[in-house]
Amino acid sequence: MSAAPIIEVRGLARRFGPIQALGGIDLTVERGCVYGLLGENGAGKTTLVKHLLGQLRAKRGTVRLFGEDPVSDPAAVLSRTGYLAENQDLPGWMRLDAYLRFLEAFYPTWDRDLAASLCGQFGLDPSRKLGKLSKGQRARAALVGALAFRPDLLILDEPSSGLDPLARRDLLEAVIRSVVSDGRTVFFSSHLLEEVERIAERVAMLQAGRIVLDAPLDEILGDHHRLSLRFEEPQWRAPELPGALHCEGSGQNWTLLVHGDPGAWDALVAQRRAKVTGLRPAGLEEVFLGRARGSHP
Amino acid sequence: MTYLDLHVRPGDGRPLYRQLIEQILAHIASGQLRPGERLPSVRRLAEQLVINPNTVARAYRDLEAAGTLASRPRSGVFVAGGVGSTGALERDLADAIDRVLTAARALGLDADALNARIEARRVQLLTGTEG
Repeated sequence: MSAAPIIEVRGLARRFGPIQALGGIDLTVERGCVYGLLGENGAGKTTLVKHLLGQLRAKRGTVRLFGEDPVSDPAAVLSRTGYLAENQDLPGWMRLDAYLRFLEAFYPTWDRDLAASLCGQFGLDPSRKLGKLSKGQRARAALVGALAFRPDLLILDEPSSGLDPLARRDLLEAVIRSVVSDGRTVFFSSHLLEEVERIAERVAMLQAGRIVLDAPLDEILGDHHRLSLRFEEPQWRAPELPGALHCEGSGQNWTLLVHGDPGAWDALVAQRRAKVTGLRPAGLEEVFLGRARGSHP
Repeated sequence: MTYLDLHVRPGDGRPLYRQLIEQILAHIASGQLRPGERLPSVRRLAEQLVINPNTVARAYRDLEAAGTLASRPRSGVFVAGGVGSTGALERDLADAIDRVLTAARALGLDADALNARIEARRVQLLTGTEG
């Protein structure tokens, strides 16, 4: 079963009281892929990650990592999965070296040299207590713990939230090095779109518990454009243009976020007594914000 | 191996591999990269730029398919014959034409008016008179 995807989620739904946190998620992460999950706060990213890690049991739908159910076989899944979260809990009373020895006892694949080399790259002092480290150093220490057993899968949940630019860059560099040297599969959620654009090959966008877009990043960037229109008459409300993902502007000038061939808009635009005054590729942030806000600005 | 001053700008709207292709072509055109010179390996460039290695691999692959770069087994990727009439350049030209046509349409220029403008600019560039 070497061709089995690393992560396979089918029809995953989850409700917390009146809140539909996840509404039927399907996603597949193939071996060696760096997969970025985008979504606003509250879109369901962390709920999804908790299902992947077996911290929540799938009530509807299925979750498989390496073909296994992370709830019924947590050891098989967690021994192969490195995990880094925002504000990761680390035992503050422990020294870093003691913490790494503690992890080493759990993971048969622990690579002591790699742990030492990562600590060196990050400028971490092994004799420091974890509780005395800065937020950035704690995140670096947690990443050492997540990478040093050379996991098949690395899951990062908002890894760089609240970190300074240097710490963010250190984290990204270490993740890229592990992708380059080990072909590691990475699943990460982030709202830092530049970061996602740098390292992800495939991007999914989660909105109110549903995946509204899931495609290779190059395809997302190639298929979305911003189309600027000049209307003959001022428009007092956003013009109704079916198919536009987002529309913003005022008076005679309006700009649409469109998906697919921008030439397909010519006829409709002419019919609305407008003409195209500009066309450029949309950046990932524009795609994300446009789709998140929808057709009502 | 030649060090290359390359950078990527996420958020620009163009996929990062396209940005790399344009910069490598520009380095060849400016003479900073010469035929026969070796480029950084995919891994090294991915680490230098902190981007996904497949992005670098795709840029190299497209430039190889265009004949701009050539890979030799076990020794790396090299500049082939400089910037010739290659597929990558063809695509750049096609993109530029699309932009010109969009701008012309926005200005309401018809085909004759547009051709006249292009011809006038061509003559300016040939004769070195400033536009």
